[in-house]
Amino acid sequence: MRLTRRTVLGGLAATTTLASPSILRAQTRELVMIGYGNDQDAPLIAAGAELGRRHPGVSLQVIGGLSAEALAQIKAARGNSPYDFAVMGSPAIINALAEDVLVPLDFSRISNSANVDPRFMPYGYDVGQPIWFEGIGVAYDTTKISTPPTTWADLWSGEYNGRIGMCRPQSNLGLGVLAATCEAFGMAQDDMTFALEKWQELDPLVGRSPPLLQQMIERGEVDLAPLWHVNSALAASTGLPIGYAKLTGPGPLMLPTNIVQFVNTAEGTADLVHEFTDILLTPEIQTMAGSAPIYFGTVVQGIEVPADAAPYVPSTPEELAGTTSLDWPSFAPLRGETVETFDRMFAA
Amino acid sequence: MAEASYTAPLATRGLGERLVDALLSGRGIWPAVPAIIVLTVVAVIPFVILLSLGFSDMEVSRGAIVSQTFSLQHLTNALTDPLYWTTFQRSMTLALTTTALCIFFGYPVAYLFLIGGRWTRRLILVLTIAPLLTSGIVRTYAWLVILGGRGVVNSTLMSLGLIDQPLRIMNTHWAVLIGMVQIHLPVMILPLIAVMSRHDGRLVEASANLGASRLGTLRTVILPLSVPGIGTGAALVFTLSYTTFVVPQLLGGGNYLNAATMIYEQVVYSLEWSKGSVSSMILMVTCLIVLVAIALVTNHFTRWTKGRDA
Repeated sequence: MRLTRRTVLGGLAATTTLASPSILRAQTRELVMIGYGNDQDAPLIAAGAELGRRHPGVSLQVIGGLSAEALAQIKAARGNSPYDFAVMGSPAIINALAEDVLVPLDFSRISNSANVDPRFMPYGYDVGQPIWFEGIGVAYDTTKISTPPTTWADLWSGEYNGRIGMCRPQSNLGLGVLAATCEAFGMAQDDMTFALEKWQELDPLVGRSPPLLQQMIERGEVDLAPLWHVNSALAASTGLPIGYAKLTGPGPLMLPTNIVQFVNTAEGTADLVHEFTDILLTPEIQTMAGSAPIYFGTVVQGIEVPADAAPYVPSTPEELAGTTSLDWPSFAPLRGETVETFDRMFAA
Repeated sequence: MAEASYTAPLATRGLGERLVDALLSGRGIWPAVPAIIVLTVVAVIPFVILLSLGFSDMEVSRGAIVSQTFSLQHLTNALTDPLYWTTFQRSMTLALTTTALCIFFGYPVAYLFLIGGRWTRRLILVLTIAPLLTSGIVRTYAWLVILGGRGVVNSTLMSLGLIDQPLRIMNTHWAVLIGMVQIHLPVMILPLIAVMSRHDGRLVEASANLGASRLGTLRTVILPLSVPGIGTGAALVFTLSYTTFVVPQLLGGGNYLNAATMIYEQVVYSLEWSKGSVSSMILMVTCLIVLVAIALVTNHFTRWTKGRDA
């Protein structure tokens, strides 16, 4: 091949064209985070827009996905995380800590963190900042169930055998429901075999993930199933006949969602992540997160629960007093083992 | 020679030009070099790394593997675990059943293509190729709508008064099988059409002239000649069915486990890569065994056909 002036100029033009996105990205600044991939991302996007206003050139890309998948991708990339930070439930944080892929946030750099209800802070396990919470209750088809269960133990009344759905224990929801089952029957929360045996009695249909379980209720395949309150609210907001019951004994149950920062991110990213987290805790974003159609439970003190959120989020003094979570560190590390036990009992 | 008249003298050609010449020459392995390079980078090297994980115990720090020690523990655990046997047996049964059903449903379509007129052929091609223009996930979701409790099948049966309660079709082995056959049917039909279209039409005419019935011609002429198409289609459908992930994931429900979904869960949710690696290895080896069997059977019947032709 002969190298002529035209060849060299053509090559340079092609290289510049191909490299221009990288050049532009370097001049701007793009933060990449793992979000939800649905309407639940709205408060994150709003906070990202505010961050962009404060720092011209900075933008936020929210990628929908499961935190477990993000952990697998980081592991595959040998620690070179393709994401800067993520929203992550408490049990996933425990798994991420075991994989050593998180950098603790510096809470002194998140001024609004001081306004967070102190009951929520322990669920960040000293590395993540709680930003809101999701409730675990029961979603049900209102055309088939007129009087929903009120306690976890009610599910074993015999009325729901063969009509109920459950989520696989690989999800935080599935794992949490098993722990709640143990608690309801006076067992240790990490006695997963006991919980799985109890669920086997109900002859449940199983959903692979909370969204798929939600779809099973929508399609009429199951009449009720333990579900996140947010999934239930989103389904109901589309006009479907889906109700939600905040179960007690234990409960109402909640799981805080946290902002966590991954290892090996670019220099300067940490400053932006801390500022972004601080924005999420402002009254404006918290109020937005707590409103229709998602109704996240807010963690900042002084934020009123909207009246239309009452069916989903603890609102009465009794409910607020009884709101609790689970002992996630005791059973979250058992996730892999529990999935295997589940498969032996339900899939084999 | 004509070629020499437009080819630059060897001494004046650069390395790049000589390399392109070699690639285009059609001699030796040169034409396959680009594919070999791509496959080595994106398939062979990652696969070797994956296999190495199956034979080692690892220590991880800040997301990176900091030490690996050789171990056969994961392999022996897998081979002695009933869950693995059940799961792989289920995957194998599903894939073989899907392949058999695809041959059963696909062959008549290909035969119709062979004997049909111009418009019939066009219609068959359009109907076969059209589903491939959409994603497998979309086609699988269509089955959710059809087979669900409030789906087309149950609504029709209930409106006809044949059933009082919706049948549970979704989240069963049958839902997975129905989805797999429909999704993989074009992959069976297209190789059959490709092979059968190459047949010398005069063979069929000769068979008829010699007094053979249509069924006799199909059995003694067309079927033996289409064995390579059946073999190719069967190999493709089996491989896709045996390693499928999306269809069991969506149609089988959360308590349906096949090999691919098990591997996904081991790697993504349990983060137990050694287990995932061993499972992948078992999946690949068993898949290769069946593919070799299909190739041997195809070869046997093809030789038998050639022998009879001779």
